[in-house]
Amino acid sequence: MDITWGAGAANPVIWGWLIAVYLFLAGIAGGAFLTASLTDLFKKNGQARVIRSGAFLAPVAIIVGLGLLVFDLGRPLSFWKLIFNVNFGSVMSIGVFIISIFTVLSLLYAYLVWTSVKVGSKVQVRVGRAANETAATKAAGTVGGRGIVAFLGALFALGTATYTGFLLSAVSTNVFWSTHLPGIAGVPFLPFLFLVSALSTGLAATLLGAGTCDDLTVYKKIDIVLIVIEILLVAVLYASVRAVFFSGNLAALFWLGVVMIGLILPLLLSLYGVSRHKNLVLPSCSLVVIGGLALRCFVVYAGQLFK
Amino acid sequence: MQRRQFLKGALYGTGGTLVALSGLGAATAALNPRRAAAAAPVSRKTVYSSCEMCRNQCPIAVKVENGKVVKIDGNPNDSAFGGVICARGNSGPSLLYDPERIKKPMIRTGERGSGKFKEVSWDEAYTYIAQKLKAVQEQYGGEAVAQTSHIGPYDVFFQTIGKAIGSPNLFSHEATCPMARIIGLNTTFGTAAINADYANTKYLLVVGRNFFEGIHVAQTRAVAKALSQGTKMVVLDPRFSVLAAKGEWLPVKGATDLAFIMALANVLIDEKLYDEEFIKQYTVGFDKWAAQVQDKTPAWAAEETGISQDTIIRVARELAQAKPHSLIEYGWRTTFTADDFQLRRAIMIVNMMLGNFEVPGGYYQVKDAGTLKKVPAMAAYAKKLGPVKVPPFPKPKKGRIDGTGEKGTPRQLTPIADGAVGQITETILTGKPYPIKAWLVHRFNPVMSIGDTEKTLAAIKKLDLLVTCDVYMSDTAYNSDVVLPECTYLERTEQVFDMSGLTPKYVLRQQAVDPVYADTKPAWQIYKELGEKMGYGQYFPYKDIDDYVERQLAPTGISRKVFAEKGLWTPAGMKPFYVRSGDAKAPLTLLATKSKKIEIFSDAVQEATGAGVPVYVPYPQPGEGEFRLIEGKVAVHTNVGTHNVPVLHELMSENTLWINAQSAAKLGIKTGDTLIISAGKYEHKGTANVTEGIRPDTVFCYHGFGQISPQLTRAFGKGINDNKLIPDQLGSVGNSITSMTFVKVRKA
Amino acid sequence: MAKHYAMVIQLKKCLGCQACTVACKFENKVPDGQYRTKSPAIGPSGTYPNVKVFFEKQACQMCQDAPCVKVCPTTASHYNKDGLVLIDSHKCVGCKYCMTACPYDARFINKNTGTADKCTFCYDTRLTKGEKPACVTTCVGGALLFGDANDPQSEVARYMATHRTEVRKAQFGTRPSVHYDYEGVK
Ligand code: SF4
Ligand code: SF4
Ligand code: SF4
Ligand code: SF4
Repeated sequence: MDITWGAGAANPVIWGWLIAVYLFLAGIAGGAFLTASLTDLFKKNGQARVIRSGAFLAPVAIIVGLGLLVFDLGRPLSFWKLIFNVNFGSVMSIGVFIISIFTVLSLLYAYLVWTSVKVGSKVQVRVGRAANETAATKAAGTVGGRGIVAFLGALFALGTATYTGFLLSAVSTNVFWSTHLPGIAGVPFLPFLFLVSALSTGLAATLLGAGTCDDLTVYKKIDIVLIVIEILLVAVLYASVRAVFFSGNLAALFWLGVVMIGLILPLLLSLYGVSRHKNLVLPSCSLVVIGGLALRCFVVYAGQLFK
Repeated sequence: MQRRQFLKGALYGTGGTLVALSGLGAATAALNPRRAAAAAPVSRKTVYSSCEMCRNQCPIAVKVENGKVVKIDGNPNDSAFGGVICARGNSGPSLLYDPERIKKPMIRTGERGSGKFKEVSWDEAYTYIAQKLKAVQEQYGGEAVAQTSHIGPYDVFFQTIGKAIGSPNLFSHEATCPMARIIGLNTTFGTAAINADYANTKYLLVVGRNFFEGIHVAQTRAVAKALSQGTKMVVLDPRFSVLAAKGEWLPVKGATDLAFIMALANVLIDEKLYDEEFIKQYTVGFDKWAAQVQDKTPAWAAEETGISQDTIIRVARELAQAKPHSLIEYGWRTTFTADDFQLRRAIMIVNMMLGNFEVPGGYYQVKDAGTLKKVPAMAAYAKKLGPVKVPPFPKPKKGRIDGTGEKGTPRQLTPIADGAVGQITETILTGKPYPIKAWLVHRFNPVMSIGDTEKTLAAIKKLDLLVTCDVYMSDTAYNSDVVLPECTYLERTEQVFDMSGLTPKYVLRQQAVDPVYADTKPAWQIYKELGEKMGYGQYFPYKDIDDYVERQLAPTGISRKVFAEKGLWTPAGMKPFYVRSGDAKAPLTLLATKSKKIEIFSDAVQEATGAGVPVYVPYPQPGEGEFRLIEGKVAVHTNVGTHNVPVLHELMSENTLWINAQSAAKLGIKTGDTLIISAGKYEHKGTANVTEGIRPDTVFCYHGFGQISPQLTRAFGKGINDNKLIPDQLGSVGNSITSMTFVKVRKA
Repeated sequence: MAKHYAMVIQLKKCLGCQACTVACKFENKVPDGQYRTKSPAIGPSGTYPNVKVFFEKQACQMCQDAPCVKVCPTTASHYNKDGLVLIDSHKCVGCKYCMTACPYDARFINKNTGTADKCTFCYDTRLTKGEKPACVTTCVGGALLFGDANDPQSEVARYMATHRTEVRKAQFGTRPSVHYDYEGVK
């Protein structure tokens, strides 16, 4: 260390992997919740396993994510102050409310799904009646409170997934994070990228959680669309910022993690899977999830390492 | 603050359920140590004192809160300092509260250099030292005891021991630092108390000194002030120092500075630009000097120095144009070559050719009380400190080991108070001219400061006794038999220092806090107690340091209260006094030479060396593949004393080897590479710093790093110990030579 | 008129001596290994023997349009009544959002408190007692000027009226209150 003649530069990375993983988990939570709730709302006799998987995954992911966030605070025990000192001009402050409400709703939704599953299985086990009854119970749940929770939750899940992008893009002094949509100066880029990635990874994680299932073709098709959109967005990003952000150690993370593992391979696998193996989800979905994590890490680090 | 906190709490509390959370908040707030401290009543005081993070003793204002030093500022009452202190001075509390300080007297239990010690009481330590010294004295005589210190207020007490024993071998560290300048001044002016008025100079030529990294606050500020007023500065230095960055850098070839200076004289004479009147009225021997520089033409000097002829001529003319408010700086660490003192003389001679003596922006004789007394108009301002009388010491039976004072040899010029400290290890190892068997060291670190670390370590092994008193387990302390813990400057009062300049000035170091480690003591007490134990009580006739200060102040009529209130004393109403500022022909009655003239030709130097005016001696230059190793100071460290101070270590924990970019490219060296620096006998590892800011034939590192005491846990082994590579080589007058080491460099 | 504290740094006078660095540490009890200000070398640049180097004192720039204040979720980072950007450590949770937003790397998480920390212009420790900041009073090179820029008689106002000064990273529009005079060093 020599403070005068250099070699004294402080660690430039302020937000490290904890925050990257938090952003990733928040995306997963949002995406998973959307997968579950939309299935619940729009698919009659929908995929119970998918609903369950997404509904349970969402609160777990967001709570673990929040745990990491709190752990990363300089004063973890004072996190509650975030709720009582509000700055409406701060994306994070608003985000605290969005995420808090989302967390509550996701827990509530998970509870509702859980109880209905239990009721359902009870009915099945004890009474041994036909699946009709189960469906009826479920339908009743969906139509009632659970529907409202699913709907509200979906809105906040959307907010949560987008927020993770806004959190970074609002840092106007960070050239990389605050990149805007090409040609539209006022509209930040990252929220779109993170939203699409959240949907894609959340969906993929949900399918992983659902395990083997009946026909998943719809989900896979959606996933393919999401991946294609994400490829386009990443290409736009690559074209619109300086090359330095994709250099050094981060080059490997970007090309291997984000592009190959996260986008190209799963796209190929999915295209193959849709046509051949209706029920094969595992390899492609895992890759999407890993790629989503790589994307968060890449964006978080690239923005800080190259200012 | 409390109330606001409460109101806020209450507001939140109205939320009902939130009351608990506010409680949690209050609890965490209470746990916050800073807030807790703020709540307790605080006793605050400011103690004026004097810094000792280096030797310059800058006046300071120590802020004490509840018995703890929290901040040190410069003493605003001293206009030369303007409330300013340097980074090291600011770091005082970090030293004071460092848990790595030595806390108890210790006696070695393991092998020398094993670092194994047992803690003992002061009495045990004194008894041990007294017995060992007595044994040495009986077997070899009192002269077998050598004493070295850095140089400072402690010397009065420390050296009393050696003097009482009857040893002539008392050394300061000056031979490793400014001694050549001291001799240059002594032989030219009859005194070394000559200062420069940097602040008012209009043109400043600096020869190797580095005001902006080797910081002396008053002088550094004065130079900075001059620069901000448009003074032109030219810096001769093989390395691009911070000072060089602020002026015109002339990367002079090492050891050729004298050629540059002589060529300046040549031009000044040739073009009749020098102050003839001044030379005529005040000096002797100018013709001999003129003869000596007659063939030292700029063309010749350009060959020697690597600085172009045009530049040399231009600098000479510029100096002349600005005269007498132009000056050539006389140097601080003056250990370049064997005959460095002749360079210092030459510098002062050319200064006199500029007629810059006793005028603003030139050199002046220090106006302390003793000097002022000789000027009737000023005598009223002279308040001479009282002497603290002690009985006469026994006369040493033998001469000094370094030949200091021997007539007809160059060492006749060596100041008796300093000596050639580099001689000690040689004498210990060879037993010539007679054995040295015991060595007392105070606040000095010969292992890292006398050239050739390994040689010093080998010498230590041959001693019967090595005692080191310090605040840290320095490299020398670590290899000692007895280690005595001194308390830091913030924990002790010392005698009044004379810090006179253009007016008299007295400064008092005053204890700011109780010793942090109860078993550490101030030097005056340590040596008084040791002396008493040895039966030399009569040489310490004062009760304590306050008594000592009383005796100093008694004849002056200055009250001790002045120091408590302001930290320093200067005569009220006295303006800076230059003898020739009003009248360029005013007689220089203060001159202390025998001839009462400024001695351009010095009989004493003639007698000692045969060169009554400086003569040019060419020194070897590095050959193919070799580099001259030079070293220097950095603003955040002092010599080898501060590298373990937590805050300063944090600022700079390691040095690097500066190497010119072209030279490095030839060797395939890049910044950050690990290098082996080889001086033939010894090698040292170091990290490369490839830079454009150094001559291609020179490498540089900051001094004082690579310490070898493992008990300096922070500084231990970090960086290059240049002292291992520099041999223990003495110049004509006993000065250590530090700029004549050639090294080879390769990648590790 | 409201105050607008400002600092002027005359780079040609800065020696890189770090007296300011250390003075600040003790004045403001900055933990080991952390700094509110540093004065690193910029350079050396050029080729031997035409070389240049200067030292640039770096700390919070006291932005009047401070991105750190904008992003702070708890309002811990705020403008005080004299327009200074300060941190209320009771509100700060240590989320580091402000640190990511500050283009000058001025902030850090104080190891002792866990909250964001940075130069305060010595507001609590000195300004409110009528003293100038610790770095300014100890500056060995005399490179630092400090005062109320709204007072035309102040040292800073007079200096800025007669010299060309710049702010760092003007492209971010942060409107710093710390002004740099690069005359003689670039
Ligand atoms: S120059 Fe610095 S370290 Fe030396 S006495 Fe002065 S303030 Fe202290
Ligand atoms: S320099 Fe950084 S910390 Fe200071 S006000 Fe500006 S943005 Fe905030
Ligand atoms: S103004 Fe105060 S807090 Fe800011 S850098 Fe200077 S000393 Fe530190
Ligand atoms: S104290 Fe002054 S001269 Fe020294 S580094 Fe700081 S700003 Fe520069």
